[in-house]
Amino acid sequence: MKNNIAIVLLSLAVVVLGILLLVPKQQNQKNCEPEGKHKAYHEGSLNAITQCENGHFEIKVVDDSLEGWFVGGGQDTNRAVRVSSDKIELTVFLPDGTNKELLLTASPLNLAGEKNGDCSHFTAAAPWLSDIKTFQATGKINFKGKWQPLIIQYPEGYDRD
Amino acid sequence: MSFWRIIFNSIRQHIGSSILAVVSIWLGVALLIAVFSLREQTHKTFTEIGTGIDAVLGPKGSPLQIVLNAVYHLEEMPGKLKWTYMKEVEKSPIVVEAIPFCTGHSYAGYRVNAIDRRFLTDFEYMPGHKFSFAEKEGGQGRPFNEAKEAVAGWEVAKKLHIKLGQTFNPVCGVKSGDPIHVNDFIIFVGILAPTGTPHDRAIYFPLTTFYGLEGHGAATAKMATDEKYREISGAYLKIKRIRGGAMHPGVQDLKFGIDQSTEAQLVIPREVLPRLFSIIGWVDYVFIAVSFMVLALAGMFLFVALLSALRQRRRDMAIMRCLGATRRTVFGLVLSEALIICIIGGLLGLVFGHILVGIGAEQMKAETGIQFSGFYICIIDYLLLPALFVIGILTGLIPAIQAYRMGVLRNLLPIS
Repeated sequence: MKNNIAIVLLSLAVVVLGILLLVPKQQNQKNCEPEGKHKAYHEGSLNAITQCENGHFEIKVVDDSLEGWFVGGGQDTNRAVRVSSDKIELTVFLPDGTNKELLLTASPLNLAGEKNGDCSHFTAAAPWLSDIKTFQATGKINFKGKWQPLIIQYPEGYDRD
Repeated sequence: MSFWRIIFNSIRQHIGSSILAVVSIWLGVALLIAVFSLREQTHKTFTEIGTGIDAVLGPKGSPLQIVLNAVYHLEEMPGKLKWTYMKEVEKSPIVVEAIPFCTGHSYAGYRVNAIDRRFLTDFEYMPGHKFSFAEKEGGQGRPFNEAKEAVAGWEVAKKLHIKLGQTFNPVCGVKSGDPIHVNDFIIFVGILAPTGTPHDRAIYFPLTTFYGLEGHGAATAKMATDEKYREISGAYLKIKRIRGGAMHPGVQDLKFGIDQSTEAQLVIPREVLPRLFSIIGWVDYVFIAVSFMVLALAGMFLFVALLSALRQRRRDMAIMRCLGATRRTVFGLVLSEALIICIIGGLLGLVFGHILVGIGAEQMKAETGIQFSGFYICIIDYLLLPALFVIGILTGLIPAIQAYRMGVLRNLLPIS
């Protein structure tokens, strides 16, 4: 009886040793996205267009320029969604309580075969952009064939849900 | 009689079961060493080789398939790509160099790739390493200059005994039974020095040769002269480096733009290969689990062998106790015996495991193009000695306790 218990204990010890060796490999998952968060492909901030499943407007501000990409909804944030507009007017609400107008113009991704009026990439430049760290903005966009409100919260991103 | 002499005699008394225990531990350890060594070397090789090719511009399809075909000369390319599109990508300010290639031909089981000549002269297959034809490094000849010339990778040249000046007819396809370009004789003008990468396993000839091969049809022949119609399988891209040698971060924007197109995608081998390992990772775990089970069985075998040996030697132990041996001495004798058997088996397994990898390395290199070494030190090499101590103590502990608690008077009686 004692011998049987010993054999079981011995087997368990070897298995535990094996598991201990394997555990560090299992933990190498630092690239995983936090649960419920979508990947911003350009490392910008993702702003849901009405709702997350519908699509996103990813924006990134570097110095005095703003870049924006219309991308898919849900987990499809690596897929561009082209819009028919060649300009987007945004009203930007600054932390000091003032408003500014910002005009985004189409900047087609040539390698994707985009052109003005069928484009997912927009850019804008304004000197005051380099002075602000956070802002909110609103506008309208004809996205997936329907005029929809565009709400931007930078840098945290916007998601109504 | 000394302590170690008693242990040696004890092992000799039950030599049969001791040898079996040593052999089972030996095999378990050898299996573990071989599995871990191959696993680590494969991982290392796959991730390091990817460093020479920053990105592969390929057609739409599986990114993994593109990497396997373009970098490792395995699989087949999922489609074709327009030359003009590659030229557009080359204009990107972060693209330093684009080397176009066409895959899909073979010779004697090895891939024959049509490629831009710059691949042989300028391209760094690993950071700081260009292909060499120098004889002192193991190469011969020169890069191709003419349409009907070819260069063989080191591994191909060695396996097929290729000599400079020898000719061959490429096979139109990579499967057995594919048609041969019987009227196209390509001459070997160079043999690459060994690189230790899958590039050693391919034959290279000029792109113009590919388009001009007999039997490819008029449409393909037109690709040789008219860039508008020209198609390629893909292109190796070198991306601009920033401080610290890292790839320019703009590569993600470039990839995003290309991936949105209907005809191409940019594949970064370093991003794709971890996915390959996550797909095949379970196979590793199965092998490792089997190795541990073999080791567990070996441990149990040793345990049973020690117990039965102890039963046979009950009288001897009792006599030793009468002659002045303490309880601790007999405890130490049994435990040391277990440890010695474990360590002998483990050390033999260590050596045999590395020999196993060394012997299999040549065969595996021929099959996969990956360079394995029997001298590679893996994690198990470092953990082996402490692990053997643990196994030795675990297997010897209970028999040793039984020896410690053995009654002297009762066991002095003759067993028969």
